[in-house]
Amino acid sequence: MKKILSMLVAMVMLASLVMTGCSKAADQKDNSSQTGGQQNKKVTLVFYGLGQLKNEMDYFKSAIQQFKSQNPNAEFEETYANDADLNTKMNVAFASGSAPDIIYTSISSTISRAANNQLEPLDSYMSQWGGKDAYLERNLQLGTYKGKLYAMGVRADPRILLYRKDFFKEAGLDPEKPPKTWEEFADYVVKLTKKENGQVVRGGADIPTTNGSLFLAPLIFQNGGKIADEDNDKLTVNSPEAAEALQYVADLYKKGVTLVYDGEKLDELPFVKGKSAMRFTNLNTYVTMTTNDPSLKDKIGFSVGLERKSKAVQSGLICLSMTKESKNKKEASNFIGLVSSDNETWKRYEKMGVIPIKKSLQDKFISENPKVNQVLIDSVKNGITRPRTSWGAVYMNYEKAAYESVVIGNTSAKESLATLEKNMNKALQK
Amino acid sequence: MKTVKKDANYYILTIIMFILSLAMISPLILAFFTSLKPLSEVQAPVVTILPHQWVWSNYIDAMKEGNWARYIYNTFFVTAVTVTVSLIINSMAGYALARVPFKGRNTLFFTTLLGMMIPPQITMIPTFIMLKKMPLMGGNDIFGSGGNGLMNSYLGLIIPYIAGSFGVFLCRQFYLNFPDSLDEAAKIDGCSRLRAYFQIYIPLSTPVLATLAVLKATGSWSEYIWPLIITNKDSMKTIQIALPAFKQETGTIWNLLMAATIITSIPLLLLFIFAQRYFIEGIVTTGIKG
Repeated sequence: MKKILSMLVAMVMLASLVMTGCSKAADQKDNSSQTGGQQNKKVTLVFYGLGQLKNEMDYFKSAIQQFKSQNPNAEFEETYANDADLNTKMNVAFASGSAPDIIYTSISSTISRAANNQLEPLDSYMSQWGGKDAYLERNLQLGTYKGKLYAMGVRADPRILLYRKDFFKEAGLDPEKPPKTWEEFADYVVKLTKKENGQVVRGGADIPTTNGSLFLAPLIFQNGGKIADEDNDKLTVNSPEAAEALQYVADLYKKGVTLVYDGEKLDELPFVKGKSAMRFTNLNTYVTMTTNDPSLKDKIGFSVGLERKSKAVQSGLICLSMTKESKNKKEASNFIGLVSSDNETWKRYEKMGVIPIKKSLQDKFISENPKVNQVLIDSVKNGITRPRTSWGAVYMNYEKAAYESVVIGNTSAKESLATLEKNMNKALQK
Repeated sequence: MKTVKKDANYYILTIIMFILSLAMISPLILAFFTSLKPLSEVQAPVVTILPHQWVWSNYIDAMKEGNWARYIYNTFFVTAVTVTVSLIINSMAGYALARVPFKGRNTLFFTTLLGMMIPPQITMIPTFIMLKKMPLMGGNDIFGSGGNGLMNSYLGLIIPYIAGSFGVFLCRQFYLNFPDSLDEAAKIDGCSRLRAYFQIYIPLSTPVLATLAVLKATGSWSEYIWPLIITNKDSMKTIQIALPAFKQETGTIWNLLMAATIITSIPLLLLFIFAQRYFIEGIVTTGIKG
């Protein structure tokens, strides 16, 4: 009985091994036959997209329909999820060899996948999409990792300065002259703060108590610093410029000019609740606020932001990329080409208010609303993102700790950044 | 005098239990009231418990955000099948490990227990690959390639949950409580093992089966990560995967999220209310706290 059982187990194991081996071979065969390019063969494109904006999902659904009508041999399997869920899905998909064909996600997630060699460089496809000259240079730079383009920007999301004109008037400031320099900003923040019995009832600006990465990063760049040497995958944040920027934030915070809030909790933003006079934020904040209260349209002003040694605006970029594993690269490229076309780019602006990041549409866009749209284009042109390196996500955790230790703790900025660098090096060695 | 002391203890205990119950139920109450507020009230700087304006239409609006009839149906179907099949498999396995003497029984039982010791995160990717490469399923060939296997299918959502070491362990512990004389009497009366299982043990198993049903149903109903990775199609989404749709880039639509959460919690609440007596009995008899 024992012998028979052992034989059976051995046979099952052998069969599994043979099947697994054959399965891999069959997969490779599938790959080669499809890249051979059979024009009329049905292909199913798997699309993983960020689904945190309803109108954006609706846009992609309609773009997919349009693509399918133009390419009757193409089918789509589309899935939308928030950033964290999408990353979980992608991690499993890549680990199991079933990656999607097209990904639509944030630039930081895209670049970390490029660093892990999971994405297809897009440079050779650019000629089909109008050439590099058709796009705003900064967006192409943000989508480039180690000299190769991996991400086609679709939605730029710069954090411009929104300010309350009515609060400016109340504080005796000119509502048409928002702060332009660090010194002006510090001065305005104090003047705009409203206190009762020594307690802040309305902040001069939103300065996060915790999770202040997005507030700090542009200041580092404005001061001539850098978070990373992206070409060499090296951390450079422990610099006098970055320390000065972090100390500037901490000194400002400690003046008691803001309400306590978590920079990542979008439901708690003082500016949105009318409890603050200025905020660096994206255009969606303005849209949400004015939708809830249309009277705010005349009360909110726009500005590109601050300038010191250079201009820098924190800018999110949501982009399309193609996976290396994709068996349908030609169709995936055609889809990215369709979404990146002038027509579709303008359609996104009309339907969703997305900034058209193509040179050919720049003048038309500005002429639609010169005052606001010029600010938006300037912000896109000066956009910076989170570190575009393989360790970008790890860095964010250490940066949060460094920010908090200076802003709400008693550590000096210099000391804190040195600790950050030490901890990061340890983590990277592991 | 003794009665007075007992009464005082009784009232003190009642008050303590009332406070504890209130603490336990308060998140649900807050969720319910939030589900009836307009969004502007949820986001207002001043927090209130009761809504100023009672917006019952939030429940209708929440159900309009996506294909909720489909999501609820999917969750019901997956939970019902998972619970039914797992009750059969787990109780049979537990019965065999407790009542049927055979060589290697203890080794087999301890091997089963290993399943409880390995975190699901470790087995997630291998399970995913196995289901995706399932031969002759979902367009796959005999070698498991070419298609999606059991991805985007009910089987893919159900199979990983129908077995489970915990259920086997729970049932085994329950069946160990019966005296050997019960099996002997059944044998003398000419009852086979299978007949004894169905006609003697199953009728006596209501507490453990109810406990297992509640635990399995809660687990399956609330499962998040597995449905997230095994489904790509909107038509295959379960409610847990659909709920984050209310978390938008511009902020969370709390009132609609709470409305959808309340609706999706009702079946589990009902299940617990109906199975409560057996559930508590099952905990007492098996010594399992779930």
